[in-house]
Amino acid sequence: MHARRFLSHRRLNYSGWSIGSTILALLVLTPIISVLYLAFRPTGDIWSHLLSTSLPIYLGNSFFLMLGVGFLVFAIGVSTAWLVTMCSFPGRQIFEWLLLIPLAMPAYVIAYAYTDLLEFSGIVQSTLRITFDWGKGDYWFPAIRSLGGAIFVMGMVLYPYVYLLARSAFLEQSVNVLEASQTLGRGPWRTFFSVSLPTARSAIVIGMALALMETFNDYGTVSFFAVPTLTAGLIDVWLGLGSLSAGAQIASLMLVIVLVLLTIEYLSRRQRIAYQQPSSRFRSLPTHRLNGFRSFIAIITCVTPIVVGFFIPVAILSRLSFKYFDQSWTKDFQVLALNSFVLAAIAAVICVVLAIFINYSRRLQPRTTYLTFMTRFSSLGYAIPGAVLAIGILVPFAAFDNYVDSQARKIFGLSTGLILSGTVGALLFAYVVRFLMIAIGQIGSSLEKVSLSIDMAARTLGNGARQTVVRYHVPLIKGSILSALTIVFVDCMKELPATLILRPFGFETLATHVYHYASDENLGEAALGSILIVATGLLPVIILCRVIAQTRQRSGS
Amino acid sequence: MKKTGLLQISDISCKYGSDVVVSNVSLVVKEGNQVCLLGPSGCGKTTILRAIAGFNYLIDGNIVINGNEVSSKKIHIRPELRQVGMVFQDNALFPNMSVRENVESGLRKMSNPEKSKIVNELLERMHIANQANRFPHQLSGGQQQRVALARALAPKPILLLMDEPFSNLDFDLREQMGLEISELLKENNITCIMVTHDQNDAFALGDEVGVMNKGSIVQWDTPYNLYHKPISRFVADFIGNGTFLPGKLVSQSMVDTKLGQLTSAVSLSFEIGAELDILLRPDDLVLDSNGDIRATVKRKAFKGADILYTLATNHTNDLLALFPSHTDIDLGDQVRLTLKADHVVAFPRLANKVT
Repeated sequence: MHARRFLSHRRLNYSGWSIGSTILALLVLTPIISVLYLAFRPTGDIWSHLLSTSLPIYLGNSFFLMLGVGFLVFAIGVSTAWLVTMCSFPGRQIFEWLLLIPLAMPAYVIAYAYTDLLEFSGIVQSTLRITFDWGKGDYWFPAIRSLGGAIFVMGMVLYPYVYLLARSAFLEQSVNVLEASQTLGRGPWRTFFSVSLPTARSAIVIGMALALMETFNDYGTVSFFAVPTLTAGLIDVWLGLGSLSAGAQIASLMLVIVLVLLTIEYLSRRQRIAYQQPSSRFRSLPTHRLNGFRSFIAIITCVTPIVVGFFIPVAILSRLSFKYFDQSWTKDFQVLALNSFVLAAIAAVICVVLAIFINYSRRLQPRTTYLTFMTRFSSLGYAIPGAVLAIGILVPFAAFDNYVDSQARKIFGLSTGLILSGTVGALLFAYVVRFLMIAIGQIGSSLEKVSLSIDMAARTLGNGARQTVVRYHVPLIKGSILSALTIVFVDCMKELPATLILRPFGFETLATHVYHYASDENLGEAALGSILIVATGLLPVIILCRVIAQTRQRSGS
Repeated sequence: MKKTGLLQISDISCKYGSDVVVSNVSLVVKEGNQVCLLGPSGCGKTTILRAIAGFNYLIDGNIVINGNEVSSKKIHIRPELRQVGMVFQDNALFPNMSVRENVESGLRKMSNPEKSKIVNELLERMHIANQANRFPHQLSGGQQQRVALARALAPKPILLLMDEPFSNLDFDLREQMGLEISELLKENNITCIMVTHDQNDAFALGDEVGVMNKGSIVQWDTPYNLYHKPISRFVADFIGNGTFLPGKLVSQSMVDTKLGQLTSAVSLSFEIGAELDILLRPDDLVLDSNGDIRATVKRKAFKGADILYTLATNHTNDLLALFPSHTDIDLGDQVRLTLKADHVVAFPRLANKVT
């Protein structure tokens, strides 16, 4: 027996893990705290100035945009989810996963596509003019670049959030309750409104909250359509006027709205857990067989969002990319595409490594409440609009740079310039803060399924905590690690508002490149980048589709 | 250094969350002994096991393994340094590794031929050599159990811990595995602590058994004594079946009950005339065509070699009796019995309990 191996160790031998996750959580919280700090700092009369000028417009636009998008995603998401889970009609299995596909499309990309199609010089209006021999002003046509247009394009790409959650809620509902309702004389419609919809309500609300957070986060669409929302206002104030305090004022107002959304989401999640009936999970549901005209209506209901939300824009963008390929496929383009890929890949790897770390430290000390609290905090990032996050990062980073610079000047008489702000590091930090939660969620749920006795077995077999993770857990959860990598990677590729604010001077990603060309009314050259973003965006959708196919197999239909 | 056992636990207390779930537990296990901690769920037995392995901290007391203090209020040796093997309720086999890889995973700092020699011997001994390249999900429950045991034994641990190792096996298998494991442990002089809520498992494997209740060990004894000489009502209730019969001490070794007189081999330490509850085991009643006790069969449960009857007499309604199953008595039939208790187990009458 090796006595030396039994040298006494300090009791707090897991503290490395908890200290690490505390530091992480604090880092993630920094941007939020700094926005709040700025907001409460006296700044003269900027606030009243804002209030008397543009703020009411920003607020109004944000409000109506979210109202409209909320209505649209609810209508499309719930109706399609109900059709594919509760009815049987030709093509249902295909629609079940195809309905997710618009998720691959960032709102600003679909906005460019529909602008090309529907603007005055677009195919539709030109064709109308030629056919009916109309001139300009002879006819009325809805303007795509408007609040309505923004609601339309965002609704078309964000409804899958509601669809996904509503679908799983419908699948989880108790067969018995449904059958009971029918034996009590309720028809399919009344059963839907009196049983299915109320039990799925919390899931639907979660989906809508997520969709609205995305809506709130959007800058590309509203900026292109010239709909000044809060996000657009924030970025314009910063990029246009360079006023950090005004930006922070808007940012703090946005934080309040986000907090409301988060609270709604959190409460619904709690309620959803209460509604879940585990025993009925994989029993197949009684389906309504649809015939003739009804099945035709069902098919149309499912096909429309798929075609409008994905295939039409892809067709438009593909046509444009072909047409402008030579102008688009330049050395510069290749460099910035590479920028995007590398940056997104690094961010994804960082997120996954941190997510494993955070999840495992919680596992080591499951009853440490402050650690749970910290983890919850570090997952706040996903709700905070990229623009707000960027301001929150810019402020402390700039303060740090200024301090170091002034000290260096004083002591050494030389300027250190920018160290943190305006570097790729700041951008990476923003990506990690914003998307860490996705990785934590993915990896956490998969780690939860690994029995705790696996850890104990590994430990009694002579492995330390770190070895246990690397040798035993990582191989077991590699599936979820892979999907976390993919999802974060793609989200980083698509990210626009934070990238616009934080990127180093002259540094472009695919998203900013596409945005700049589109802003310059050069949709042709924006198309290739857009289609590339959509193509990578398909990766996580494929993962989701596979998950959906698996639940279907298990539910036995 | 005073060295009384391979494992020495002195006055330990543990918390689970904010509740104290183990308080002032002491026990000693000699090298080569197999002991069991037996108790209802939530009694703290698994917590003790986890504390020995190093997964739970102590708030008081200490644990000494092989002369080295591994846990106390101030010291905590990490689990991976304790050289303790553990078998889990769910086996905890690594699902992504083959049987061979699982068993091999605790072997370090060793050449490959050395590793395979140890693994092959163990697989052979555990009768799973032909499953070596299979994966856990392809094995039956019993085979998984064997792999788990082989994996825990491969690094030659100082001490083997088993947490409800048989709870996932069906009845026949658990008896067979119990005997087999017991044999293997004895053969290799392996010191082992098992935790279970099932007395059959405990009796099959334990040289000594500690019965636990609410965080304390209430009796530490051989299986025989636990059954026949329980020191408390809790142990008497928890181990085996039985009925409490009211009685009165008439002399230092004689008890009067409604079913007749009982004579104890040893004198009972109660005052003469004390009102007592006498524990009657199902095997304390025997069929006797001349017996004084007349009873009616109320319920019967077939147990294979024996049948457990619930009988009603004039005085009591839930008398348990175990008779060989070749005499099959029908429900409602009358039987005649005599008392034949070698060990009189008596407790003071519970004031609120009317029998």
